[in-house]
Amino acid sequence: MVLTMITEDQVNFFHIFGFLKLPGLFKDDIGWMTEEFEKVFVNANVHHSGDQTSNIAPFIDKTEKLSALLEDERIEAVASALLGEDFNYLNSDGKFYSGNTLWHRDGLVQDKVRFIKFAFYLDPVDGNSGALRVIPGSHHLDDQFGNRLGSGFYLNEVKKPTGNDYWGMSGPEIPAQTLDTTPGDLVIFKWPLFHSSWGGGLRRRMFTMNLSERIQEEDNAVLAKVMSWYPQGYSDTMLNTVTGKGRKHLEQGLAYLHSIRDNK
Amino acid sequence: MKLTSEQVDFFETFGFIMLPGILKDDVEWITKEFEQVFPLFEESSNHTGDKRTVVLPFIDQRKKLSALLDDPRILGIARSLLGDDFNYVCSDGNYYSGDTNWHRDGRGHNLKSLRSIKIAFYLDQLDGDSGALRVIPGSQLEGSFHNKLHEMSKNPGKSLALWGIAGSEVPAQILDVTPGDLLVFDHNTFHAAFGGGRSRRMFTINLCQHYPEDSLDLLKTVALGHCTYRRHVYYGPEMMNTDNPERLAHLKQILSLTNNLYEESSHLPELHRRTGDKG
Repeated sequence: MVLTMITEDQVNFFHIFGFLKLPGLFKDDIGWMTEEFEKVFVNANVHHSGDQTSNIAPFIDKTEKLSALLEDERIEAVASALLGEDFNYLNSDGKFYSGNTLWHRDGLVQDKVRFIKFAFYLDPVDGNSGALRVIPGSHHLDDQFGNRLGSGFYLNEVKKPTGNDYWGMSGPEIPAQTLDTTPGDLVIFKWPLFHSSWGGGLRRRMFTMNLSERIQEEDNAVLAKVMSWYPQGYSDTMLNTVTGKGRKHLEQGLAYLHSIRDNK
Repeated sequence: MKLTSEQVDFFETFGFIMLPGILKDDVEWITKEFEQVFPLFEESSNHTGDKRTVVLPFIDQRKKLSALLDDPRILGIARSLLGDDFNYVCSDGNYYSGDTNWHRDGRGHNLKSLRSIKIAFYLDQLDGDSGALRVIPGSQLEGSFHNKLHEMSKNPGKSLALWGIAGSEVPAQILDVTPGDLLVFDHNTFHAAFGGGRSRRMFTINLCQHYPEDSLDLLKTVALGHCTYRRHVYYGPEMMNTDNPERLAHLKQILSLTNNLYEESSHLPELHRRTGDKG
């Protein structure tokens, strides 16, 4: 049974606008989450200098406590409501962000399979300090709006924008919703939603979990593409930790990885 | 003064554009003229604040306001977005009171129509808490996003039923405005205003593309949709009182479709002019 952590109204909102913020859903866990986050970087011997974003992926797979998020009833409830109870955990990343992140979509631009990102921000951020900005409704891939944005952003990305390169505007001037966050909030958005962040410091901590709905056999090419980004598969820590109800969220990924190994 | 190609592309993508301060040197006379229009009619002479008071057509009632249609700044915007042969459709002047729920504009207008735009002149300083215009960027474009929002806009307050949020919480761009700014948006862009006072002054000029011969029925539907009272001539007296060929060019297509307006508007009430002031 899935607990009610998210209402039907919120699910409808998410599908129309492409994002959702659940304030304070993890506010009682932010202490240990932050400790674990820091531990992963120390253990990986990654020293963030601030010159550029430092990234570790997969991320939650690195520790038992973070891996156990896949067994957490809040993750289970929210992801099930958005993707179905048999959703897949695909991968994760943890970052010390530095500077701006330009307007972009995540992952694959396709409409066969729903992919979403859960983002945990470990520092308070607002529009002037690197909060996530999203363009509501830009994830509808068949819509003219998303297509026009794609043309506008990617055309200018080639020029490596540094100034007023988007329709004569700078990145933070683009019409968007700024999602101010306090540690403990959960921000969720669809991969095709255009997003960015501006004005942030050199040491913003954030980690994400990438999830999808269960992928139909005819769309195996999509699964193959996504899994190819992380050929090492799930860590032993993850596999040894997630042994309960969360295990089903690894099943499809594991089956695919096994099939690849068997075919070698 | 034409918009740049980037501004036009921005408008076509997001469905609106804000032009800060473009009329800042004209706010004083425009406001005086605005105030002069409402006393002209019985129906608009006493704004109590209980509800919106509107005059339509609006700029047509005053010589100086009508001449905005000859102003190079307005012409530049219109030509850039609609082509040199655009039509002047109508204007409205308003004392707004309270909230305006989410909707798109265009009486008789729809996604299949040619482009129609609204140029909005706000005569009071407004922000998100005091009735500033909110728009949903990109909502003017055909697609599932527009269709879902259309569902929401059919009934006031439906955002609460659909998504559990008040209209003011719907994700949108709030366009804080200072008198002298111009806000331009596509008639299909969803927009609203929340939290405003009871006497917010604003008027608009509505324009559309020149319609081809095979679509004139649709243009006539759009034009008649803007008729809210019975009259002989589609445009107001001061709008017609010109020999400027450029202005007349922007009036002639709709005039040609409304030769029998008095008969066709027989179901509408008469508007009662109070004074002989010709502006």
